[in-house]
Amino acid sequence: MILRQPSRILHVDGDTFFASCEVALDASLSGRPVWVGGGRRGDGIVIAANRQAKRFGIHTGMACFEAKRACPHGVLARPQYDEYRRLSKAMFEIMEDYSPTLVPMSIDEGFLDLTTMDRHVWRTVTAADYVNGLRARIQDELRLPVSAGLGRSTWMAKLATSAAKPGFVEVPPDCEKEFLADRHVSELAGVGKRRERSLAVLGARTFGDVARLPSTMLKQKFGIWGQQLWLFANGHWNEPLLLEVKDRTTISSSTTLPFDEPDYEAALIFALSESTRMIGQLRREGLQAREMSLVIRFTDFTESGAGHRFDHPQFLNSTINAVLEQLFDETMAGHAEPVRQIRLSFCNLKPLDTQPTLWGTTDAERWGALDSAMQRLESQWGSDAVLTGSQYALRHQDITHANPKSKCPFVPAREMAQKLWGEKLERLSQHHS
Amino acid sequence: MKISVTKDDLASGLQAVQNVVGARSTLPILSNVLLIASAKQLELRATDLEVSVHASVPAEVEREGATSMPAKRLFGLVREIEASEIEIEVSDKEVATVQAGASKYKLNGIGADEYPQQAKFKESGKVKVPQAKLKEMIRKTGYAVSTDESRHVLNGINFVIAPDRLTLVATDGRRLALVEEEIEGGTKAEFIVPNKAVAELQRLLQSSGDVVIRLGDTHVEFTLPQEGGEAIVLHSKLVEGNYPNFKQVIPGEFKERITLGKEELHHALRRADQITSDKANSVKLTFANDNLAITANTPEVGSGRESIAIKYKGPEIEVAFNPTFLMDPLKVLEGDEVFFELTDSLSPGVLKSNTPFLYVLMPMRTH
Repeated sequence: MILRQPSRILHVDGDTFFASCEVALDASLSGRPVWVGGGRRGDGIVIAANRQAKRFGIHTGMACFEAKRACPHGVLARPQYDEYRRLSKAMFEIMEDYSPTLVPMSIDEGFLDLTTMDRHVWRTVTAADYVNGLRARIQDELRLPVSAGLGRSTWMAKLATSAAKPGFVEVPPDCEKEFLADRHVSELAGVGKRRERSLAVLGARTFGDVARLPSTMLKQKFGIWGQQLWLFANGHWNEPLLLEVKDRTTISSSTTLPFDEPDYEAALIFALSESTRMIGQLRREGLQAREMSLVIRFTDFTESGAGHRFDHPQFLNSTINAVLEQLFDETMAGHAEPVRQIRLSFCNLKPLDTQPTLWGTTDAERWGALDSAMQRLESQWGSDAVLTGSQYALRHQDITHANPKSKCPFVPAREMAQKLWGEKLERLSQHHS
Repeated sequence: MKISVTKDDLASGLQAVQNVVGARSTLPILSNVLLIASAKQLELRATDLEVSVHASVPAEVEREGATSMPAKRLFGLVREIEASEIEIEVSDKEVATVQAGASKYKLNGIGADEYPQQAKFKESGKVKVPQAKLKEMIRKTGYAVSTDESRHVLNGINFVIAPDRLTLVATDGRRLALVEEEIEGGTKAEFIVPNKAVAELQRLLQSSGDVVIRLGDTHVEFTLPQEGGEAIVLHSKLVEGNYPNFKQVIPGEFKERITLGKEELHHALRRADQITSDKANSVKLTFANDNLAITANTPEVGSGRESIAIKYKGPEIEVAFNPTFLMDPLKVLEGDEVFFELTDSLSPGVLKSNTPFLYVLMPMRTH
């Protein structure tokens, strides 16, 4: 894209975010090796380790007992996802003060548009002063360390952040080719094993190599993306920052049960309760689903699944749960092992048909009204104020289900944005979507 | 069983029945067509347990018997055969040898005794209707049925038979199509024919001859005599349950009646429909000062306006409809004019034509 003014995009990324949150929440951990454990009981594998812990060779994906062996005086923190969410929100609120356009990417990273700041805001300061001011504020107010990178596109900004960690790096518009020349292509988000191999076949390991290839060859091999890559490697890729709120295309849930469940009836109740929650969420968003699928993972990590496509999109618990029961029976046929994990998803989403019928208000409208009333009650009295039969059964079935733990917040950008701006965003999205 | 049959006869017999066989069926035997050879004819039957179709074709029967063979494969094979005579011989192990000219094929079948029996049928009344008439009636109502499996009583066409009248009604809750024709020798009955049977019937109905509708408690049977041959019989389960009271939603009175050119309206709607989307699937009709304005407005796409000269002096009426719903009847109606009866922007609109046809359409709410 050719723009008169080169874009200046800032990428901000929390350093070892979950581990840093733990330190921010408990000052006594400051300066000590800290890692956060994931898995069922929060002591399975390491999902985040701070810099002090990394010095001992502790890394994400390592088993917690190995981490303890490598660093006996380190601290294993059980994840507190709700707290991480709260800190993340506070972090984005600070970031919002620094630019009119903020695009959150995940719980701990986001992009800010700083284009034209040099002409209007940075009269007496440099970009580095401004960004370091932002980093210092997040450090002071939330005690969270963040790194940042500034470049002409989101791709460049992200690479600059990786180069900066920990700290801040700016890649000026005319130094991009030089900055990239010796960097390995796999550093770019979107370059996986397969693309890396395809590029290696063409003799391109670094961006410098890519820049020397003919652009037509890259276009032939990778399509539009290839051409973008060539422009990027040559320092010509300029991209404005847009907050694109895409419509939801799917809703899914994946839950590892607190313990391996040998009772299939109990597992079914869990699945029904989960589906009820998800269908309610869809209805609140004015959607209904045409396809659903269920996958069960057993103790021995084998999986079995089934799916169904309705002739017509559906939004009623009764219709969907009746099919879910059949899918569950199909999935479980011939199995006897305890259930470890239940994955449920709905896709092929369509807007709810709210056109009034000849016989009066539609079921969709009546259910919509019921859902929003339930949401109001829940916001006032807690999430167990109103329960459906299956949800009630689940609560009473087992004490471990009574207070479900909050889940790891791997939130898509759309939901992140929605949480930050709520209704404001819905108005926004009507213009942009 | 051993028979000899002409290629054309066998192909047309299979053509009549094979469509009932689903691509994916729960029981393997349902992918098969039942063949019964007896006294100078070959009877063919296919079923999906809800709808079944029978046809008979003349054949030279050397040895009587019955078997079932994979319907789609047999039909595909017969269609491709070039010779005019086909011989079929079935062994004790249910392997059918199909021989025609220089072609010889063996197809594995399943024993006829395993083929699902037809449900017992007790006739409680019957009526005779010209095939062309019924075909036309189905064409004018069939598009309005619901395919939503959660509303199964609407998954079919409601047949209302009176001594002198046959009425067909289809609705998906948001629009309703009704067509009425005079008949002779009717009885009094009301039943719902499921979508699949309606589609099969529409395919089988010809432009000449009569169709006999025989009614049972849970089933209905349509007999379609063929020129110079045995009749094709379609046998179907009825949709269980009571059809909603459709008379109650047909507006008894209206404020304005507007005459519109059918083609002009249809073309304008087709153009305006290009602007609509999944989320904004409505067009607005504004009737005022001898003019009908059709406007479409979809924030992320754009907007459009169509203007049609009409005779209308009444107060301005603004009403929004789903353009697809409005176009559906225009596609099947004959004649140059349609009549639109309206009351206000929230009450159902009624579309009529010069034929005994009625279409009730609920407006969309606009904000």
